[in-house]
Amino acid sequence: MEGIDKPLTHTLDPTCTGTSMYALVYKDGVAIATDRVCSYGKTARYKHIGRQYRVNENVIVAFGGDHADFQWLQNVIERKELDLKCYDIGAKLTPKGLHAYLTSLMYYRRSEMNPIMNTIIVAGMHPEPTYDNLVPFIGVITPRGVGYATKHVATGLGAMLLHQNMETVARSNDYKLSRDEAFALLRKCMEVHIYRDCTADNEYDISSITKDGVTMEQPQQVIGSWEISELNNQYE
Amino acid sequence: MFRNQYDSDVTVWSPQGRLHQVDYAVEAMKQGSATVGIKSNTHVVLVALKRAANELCSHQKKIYELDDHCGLSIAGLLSDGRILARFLQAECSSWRWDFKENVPIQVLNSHLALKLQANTQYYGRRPFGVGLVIAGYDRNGAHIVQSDPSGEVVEVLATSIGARSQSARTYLEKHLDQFKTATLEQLIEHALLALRDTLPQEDNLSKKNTSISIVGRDTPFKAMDDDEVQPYLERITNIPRAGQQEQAVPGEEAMQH
Repeated sequence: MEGIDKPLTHTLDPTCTGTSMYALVYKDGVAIATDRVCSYGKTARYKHIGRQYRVNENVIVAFGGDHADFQWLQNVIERKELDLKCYDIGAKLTPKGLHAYLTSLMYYRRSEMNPIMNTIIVAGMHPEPTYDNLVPFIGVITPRGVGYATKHVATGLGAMLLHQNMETVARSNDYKLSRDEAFALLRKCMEVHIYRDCTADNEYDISSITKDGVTMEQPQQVIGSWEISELNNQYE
Repeated sequence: MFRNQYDSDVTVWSPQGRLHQVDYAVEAMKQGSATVGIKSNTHVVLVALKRAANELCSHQKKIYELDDHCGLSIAGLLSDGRILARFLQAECSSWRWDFKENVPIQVLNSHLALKLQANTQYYGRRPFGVGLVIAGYDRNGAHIVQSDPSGEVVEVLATSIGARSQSARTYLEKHLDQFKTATLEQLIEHALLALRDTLPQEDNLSKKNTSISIVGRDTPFKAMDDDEVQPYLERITNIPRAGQQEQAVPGEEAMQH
């Protein structure tokens, strides 16, 4: 801590935040779904915001947490990607490489007591060992700089609710769901997500990364079933 | 090449548009003992001829491991080569620190080219008197990279540098079509045969003077010397040598390897 006359002005609370993210490895690659709202506390402050960023043909980065911090991070990632082009015009960041780099960066910032207030998912296809053989990869980074790789993940409130569902469906099929099955599972996640998370929105983005590249679908809507509300005495 | 009034500093151009100091540095590289690099779709092989100054000396190390996916062989001033090898090892390591994966060979090439070129443009510096053959296997496949004191760093399909290396290059050009799909053993054979062509008729490759290194798919970089080399040498003893050799180029033996 600095002296009393130079107080810390670092951000300690995030302002406009994104909520949960859901990502899953399936037969052909990785699918990732995020809703399209940034909340100012519990107010849905900015709607129709994409929370996924396409880095290159093999990598998508998605965020939850502070929007401004992520916009800064997006810039950092873009510059890193362009730096590579200075060496070789065809070079690109790999998902594992970017994940390792961001993990170090997030940990470094947490150690300075000036964290990047985001949960990050780096999803993509990784050359194993060359670009002729691409293997799906999901890497997660917490705001404290803990990085790990996984085959399915739900972050934020979704972590409390939907990990079990994702694991049951995906793991029983050995993470080899078809694209439609994977998307159906993620859509189900979004549905439960809007029932339970008051900072969620029903408009969402869903993207897939396969060996043929990144496909970011048009925003979709999920309504869900609200009949139960009629049984709630306080709902008019 | 003879002495003239434009060759005292590397910052002086000659009227013919040459930097004589750089040219002389390239000569130093050509005096070093030969080394050969070949690649297939999946592997890269380096072989090098080690020189011993006299019977009492050990043979000088020419192949350096840079990381588990790449290594290099040097020809020319050994001491300069060692500095460059160490620099590239640091670049490999530095990349791994940030990205936890192996450095793309193109990135290494860029770092090397900048470092070599700097010594050809500032007053008071001298060019590195060494050529490198870098062997690497990264996310884009197999790579062989050749560098020389002028700062030119180029990727090649196969190459040889050092004393009498033209004979080796002739061999490589003749057999170029066979390399892409060759097995690792065949690749090593070709490399040794090419290297053998750089020797005068009466000399031969032996486990004492030959170094071999391999790297590639599922094959971390490995340098082999002495007894490890013997089985590969035995594979080529029955293959006869090519015809006439080039005249051996007389050169300073002492420091250059």
